[in-house]
Amino acid sequence: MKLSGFPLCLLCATLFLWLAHAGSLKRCQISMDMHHIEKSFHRIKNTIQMKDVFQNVTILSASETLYNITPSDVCCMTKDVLGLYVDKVFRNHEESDPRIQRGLSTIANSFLHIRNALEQCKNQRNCDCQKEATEKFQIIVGNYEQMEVKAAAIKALGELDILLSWISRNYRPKATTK
Amino acid sequence: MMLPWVVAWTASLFLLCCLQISGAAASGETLWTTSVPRLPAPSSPNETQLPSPKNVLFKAVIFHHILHWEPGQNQTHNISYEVQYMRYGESWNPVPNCNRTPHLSCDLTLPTLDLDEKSYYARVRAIDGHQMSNWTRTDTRLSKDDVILRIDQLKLQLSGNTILGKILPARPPGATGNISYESLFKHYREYDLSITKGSENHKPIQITRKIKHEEFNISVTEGELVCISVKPVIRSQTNKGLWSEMKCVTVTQPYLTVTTISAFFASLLTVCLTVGYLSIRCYIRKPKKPPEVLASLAKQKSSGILSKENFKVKQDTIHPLDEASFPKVSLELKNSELHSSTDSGFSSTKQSLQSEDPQFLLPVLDPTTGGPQGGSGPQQPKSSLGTSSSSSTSSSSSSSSTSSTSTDSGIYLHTLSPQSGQEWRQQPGSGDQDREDSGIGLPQSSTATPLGSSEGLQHKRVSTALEGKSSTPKLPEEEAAAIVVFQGYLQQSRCTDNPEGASSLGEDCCPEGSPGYKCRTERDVESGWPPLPQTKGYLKQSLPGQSLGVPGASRGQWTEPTEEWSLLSLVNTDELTTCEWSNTPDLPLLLLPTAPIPPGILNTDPLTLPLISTLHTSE
Repeated sequence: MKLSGFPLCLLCATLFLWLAHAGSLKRCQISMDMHHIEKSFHRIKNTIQMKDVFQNVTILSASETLYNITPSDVCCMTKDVLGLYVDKVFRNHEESDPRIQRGLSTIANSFLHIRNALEQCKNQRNCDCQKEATEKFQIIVGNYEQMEVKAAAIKALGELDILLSWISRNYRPKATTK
Repeated sequence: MMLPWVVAWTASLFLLCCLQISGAAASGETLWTTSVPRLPAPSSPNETQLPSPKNVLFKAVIFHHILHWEPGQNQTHNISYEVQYMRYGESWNPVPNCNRTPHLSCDLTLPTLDLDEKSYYARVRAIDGHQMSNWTRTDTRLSKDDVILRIDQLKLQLSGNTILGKILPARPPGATGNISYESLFKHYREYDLSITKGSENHKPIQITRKIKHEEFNISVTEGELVCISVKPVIRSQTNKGLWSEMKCVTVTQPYLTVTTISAFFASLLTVCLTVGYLSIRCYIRKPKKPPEVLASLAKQKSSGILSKENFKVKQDTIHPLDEASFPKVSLELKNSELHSSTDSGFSSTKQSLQSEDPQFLLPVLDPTTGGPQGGSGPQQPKSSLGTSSSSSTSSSSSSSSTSSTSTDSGIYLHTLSPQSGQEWRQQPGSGDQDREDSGIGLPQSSTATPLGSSEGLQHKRVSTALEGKSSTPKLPEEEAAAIVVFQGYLQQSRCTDNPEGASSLGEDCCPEGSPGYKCRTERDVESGWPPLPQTKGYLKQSLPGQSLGVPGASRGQWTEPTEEWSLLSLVNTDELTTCEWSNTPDLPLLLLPTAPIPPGILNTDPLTLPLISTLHTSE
C-alpha cells in the first residue's frame, strides 16, 4: 500500500511545484541591473534637466499615471513606457556632448533589452495589459505629444530618474525587502 | 516689332513679382517685414531691470534641504528675496519663511520633505522696494537621488570586551508622521564603519566594515582606544553620504562596577563592625569581685599589717606580717577567687573588702583617667582603694595622691577570669623601662606602666628578692604579707605596649585575655601565698633567674631591701611559676601613675616606695 502511495505523493508534489512555478511565471520576471542604469543617468542628470525649460508640464509625474498601477499591470506598463522611450525619446534627441551621449546610449541600450524581454513575456501571456493600464499609458503619450518634439524629448530624458525609480521599486528582489 | 515683346516681358515680370509678394504675404513672410529691423520696445528711463539671483541650487542633506543663491550683479543694499517651490507636475507655492528674506539661503526642508517619487523645483527673485527681478529657477529638480545621507547619532556602549554600537538614522524635523529615513529608503540601508584601534604599544590601525543593520558589535581588547565613525549608504542608490563624528571609547577594566563598589562597602562595614565590637569589649569589663583575701585583710587591718602609715611614703611602712593574720589571709586567699594576676594592686573579688576598710586611701581613681581599669570599670579602682587600705598594699594607697591622676591607683578590685597555669614570666629586662611597674608585679601586663625609674628599681628589687630564693619560715609569711600588700596593686593589663609612659593603668583593653592577668594565684594560695589579687594592679614579679631591668636606677640603691624583697622573691618565685609571664610587652606589673617617681622617693622605704611612688607618680 505504501509503495503505491509514495509515487502518488511524489506526483502530487511535482504537480504542485510546477503549478507554483507556473504561477510565478505569470509575473514576467526579468533581471535587470537598474543600479547600473541609475548610476549612468545620475552622471548626466543635471545637464539634461537643465535643458528642460518647461517646468509646468510633466510627462510621467502626474499622479494619475505611474503611481496607481496595480501590480498585475506593472509588466504591461513597464513595457509600454520603455517602448515609448526607445521608439521616440532617444530617437528624437540630438546630443552634441559626448559624455551625455555616452550615458544616454547606455541607458537606451538597457531599455531596449528590457523591452524585448517584456515582449517575450507578452507573447507568453504573462504580460497582458488591462484596460486601466492602457488608459494610463495613453495619458502619458498624450502628455508627451502635447509638447514640441524636441522639447518633449528633452523633458522625457530629464524624467528618467522618475522612471528608473519606479521600475526599481516594482522589480525589487524579495530577499531584500525590509 | 521688338516693342510688344518687351512690353510682354515686363508685364510677366510684374506679374511674377506680384505673385511672389502675395505668396510671401500668405506665408507670413514678406520682404518688408523681414528686412525691417525690429526696434527695441521703448523702456522708461527710470526702470532698471533688477538683476535676478543667480546660482540657485539646492544643497540638500537628508532632512535638511537648503536652497542657496547668489545675488545678481551689483547688489549691495537692502535686497530681499522671495522664494517659491513647486512639486514637479503641480504649481508654484510660496515658502512661508522666505517671503521677504534678506538672506541668501532658505530652508525648504518641510515643503520638500516628501521625496518619495517626487521632485521639486525652487525659484528665487530679488525684491527691492517695488522692483522685482525675474525668477531664477533651480536648474535641476530636487529628487531623492540628490540628497546627501547622514546619521543622527552614534551610540557606543562598552560591555566587557565588546563594544555595542547603535546607529540612529536621520530624523525629519518636527512631528512628521509618515516621512522618515526608513520610509524614503526602504531597502538597502547600509552603513560603512571606520574603526580606528589604537593602544599604547601598537600603532593605530584603521579598519573599514560594512554593516547592513543599525546595530553592530566590535570585539576589543583591554587597553585599547577605539574610535568609530559611520557613513550611511544606500547600496542601490547613488546617494553620497557624510561621515559622522568620530566617537571614541577607551577599553578599561571596570573597576568601579556595581559589584566592586558593593563589595567595598560591605568590607568596610564589616571592618567597622569588628572594630566597634572589639572596642566595646575592651572598654567594657566584667566586674571583678574583690578577692577574699582583701576582705580578710581588711579585718586584719588592726593587726598593723595594713596600717595607714604603711601607705605613706615611708621607708618603714612595711610592717612584719602578723602570723596570725597571715594564714587567715592566706587561707582566705586560697579560697578567694583571686587569681594570680599581674596586678600588683589588690584585685579583690569581694566587694566587702572594699567597703570595710576605707583607710586605704588610695588616690581616688578617676574613672575617667585613662581607665586603668580598662574594662573593669570605674568602680573597681575605687573599690580597690578600699580594699587595698586594708591590705598591705598600703603603699599603693599612700601613694594615692599620685595615683589619682594615674590610670590605675594601684588598688584595683576586680576578678580576673580564672585561668589556669598562669606562669610567672619575667618581663623582658630590656623592656623594663617601658614597664612602669612599681616593682612588684604579678604577671606582667602587656603594656608598661609609666612608673619611671622607681619602678625599675622596684622591679629590680623584686627581682633581686626573687632571685634570692632564700626561704625562711618567716619569709614566706612576710613575703606573703608583703605581697599581700602589693596584691592590691595589680596593674591593669594593657593590651598595647606603651613605652612612652602612658598612664600606668592604661587601658585595660583585654581584661580577660591579657597576659597580665593570666596569673593564677591558686598555687600561691596553696603554698600559703596570698593569692595575688586579681586587680590589675601592679605586681611585677620576675621569674627566678631573670632580672628585671632597672630603668636608670642603680642596683646599689636597692641593696637594703633585698632582704625584704627576698621574702617576696621566695614566695613569688615558687608560686609565680604558675603565672604566665608574657615576654611580650605586657601590662606593667604595677599600676602606676603616669608621672615618674621623684628620685627622692627612691631613697625611702624600699618596699613601699615603689608601690607608693607608683601610686603617686601620677601627680
